[in-house]
Amino acid sequence: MLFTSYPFLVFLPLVAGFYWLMRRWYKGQNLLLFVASYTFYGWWDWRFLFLIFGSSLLDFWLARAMGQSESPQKRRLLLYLSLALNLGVLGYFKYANFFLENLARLLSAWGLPPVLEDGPLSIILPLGISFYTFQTLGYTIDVYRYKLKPSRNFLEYITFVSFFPQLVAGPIERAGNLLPQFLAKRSWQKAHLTEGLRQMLWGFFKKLAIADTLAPQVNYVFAHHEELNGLSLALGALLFTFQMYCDFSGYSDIAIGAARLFGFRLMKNFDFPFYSSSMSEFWRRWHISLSTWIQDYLYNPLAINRRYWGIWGVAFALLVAFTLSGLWHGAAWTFVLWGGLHGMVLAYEALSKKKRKRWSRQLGGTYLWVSRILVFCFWVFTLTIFRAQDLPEAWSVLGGSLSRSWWGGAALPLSTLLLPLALLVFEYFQRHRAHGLDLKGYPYPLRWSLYALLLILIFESDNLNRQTEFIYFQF
Amino acid sequence: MDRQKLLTELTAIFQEVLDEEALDLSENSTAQEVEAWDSLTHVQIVVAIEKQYGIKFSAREIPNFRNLGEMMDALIARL
Repeated sequence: MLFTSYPFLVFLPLVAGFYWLMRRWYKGQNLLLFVASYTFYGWWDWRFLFLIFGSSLLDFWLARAMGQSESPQKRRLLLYLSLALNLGVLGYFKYANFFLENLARLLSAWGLPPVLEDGPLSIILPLGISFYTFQTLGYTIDVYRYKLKPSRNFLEYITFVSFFPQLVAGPIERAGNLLPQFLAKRSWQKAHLTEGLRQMLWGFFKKLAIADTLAPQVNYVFAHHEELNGLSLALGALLFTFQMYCDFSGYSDIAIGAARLFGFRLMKNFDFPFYSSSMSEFWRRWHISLSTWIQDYLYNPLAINRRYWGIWGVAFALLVAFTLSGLWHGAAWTFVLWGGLHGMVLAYEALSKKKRKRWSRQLGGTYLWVSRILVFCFWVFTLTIFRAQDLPEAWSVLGGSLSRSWWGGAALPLSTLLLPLALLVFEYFQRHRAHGLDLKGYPYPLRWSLYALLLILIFESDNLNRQTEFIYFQF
Repeated sequence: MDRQKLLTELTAIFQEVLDEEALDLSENSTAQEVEAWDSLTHVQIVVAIEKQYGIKFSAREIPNFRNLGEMMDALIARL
């Protein structure tokens, strides 16, 4: 069930209504959330339910067994089992064809018979599998590291894994934050409702009024990249940057807001990334739930293990962690390159930290703004690779936007930039707040005029219930 | 070992690694409070401490120090 579809607009108030009617019985509330979450997820394809149920059962059981054992060998064995099974399932659904295609290419280069004579395997990628696999893996690793006691309550655990606001595209929650919330009684507060609805409105605005309006324009540019001029290609790449941000951060705002309606607090996933003055800062502000996951479970162990290589150990760990994070997004060389480039830039930043600090002291505000612009340009550049179907398409768009003529006007109306630029300015002034539409302290008429304006822009865009999926659903 | 003296020595290491001459630390200082103390510099700080005192922290405890005091406890236990 899509957040932006009519069924969800009926489903959400219905579930929230019953949920608060049962406010004296929190276990009943959890049961309701479990049923609602499985209904929400099964709406796409009921067969996915078996996989998520199996994955939850497996990690619940393995973590329990880990908790009951004091033997380091047995605990490690159970951890490896969890890693192998979770990553095995993810690998099969997500990477089997990628692996086989590249193997076939390699074999044919050596003159050996191909492995995929009948074409790619017919595998449907279960929705949200990368997200909930990382969520359950994080739980098992935390139990292994003695950071968390294993859950003793299967209903709470299974609802934690499938909690519908964040199941399909995050935020990838940590068991340490979310699980205890299922075990505590929840009290009704009007503030939950108003805060939640406000953040959801901001998310709907970004997704429907901006991302879904830009989507056809961006699709046009990338589909016709061979014949368009440089200006159109550059504009397409720029618009995709805004589309991606509004789509994904919009999803996160709706997810966090919807969870708030049930009294839950999910972690922040975006923190106004476009005003970052370094890529390290950018990654502390973009898809925070994934970058902190990568940091805790991949980067830190690697960097600690290689710490005697000095600063080169840090650079190595960054490069590996970010290349793998690229691969997490999808089975394609474009994602690998995208992740690798970010790893390289972060490694450069780690190596040049002192020098950059000196420049910052000497140049002050000029340095800050030049850095912000460079960070933004680098993001547009790498995101074009991320968006392209394959590497030749990425080169065509990037190379074409530089080498082809900028004269003769753009294939897209420049007015498409208006709303994204207005958002960029508005969020600049909001950047120290919890989210874009956090309007605490603003006068009442201004707040309500803004809500009305956003609603008008949402309905004006006519994108509601058009079944346009969120970009991150494919990962 | 004298904790105050140790705190002064560790502060000097932090100042050097983080390139913050005026940095003032207490046993309760955490990575959240000190802007330049992030996951990247944390590993560099750990290595600098290990080198200066000729000790080795375990891979499990390194990411789990909640504040400077906990780092000092782990260090004292090895001296």
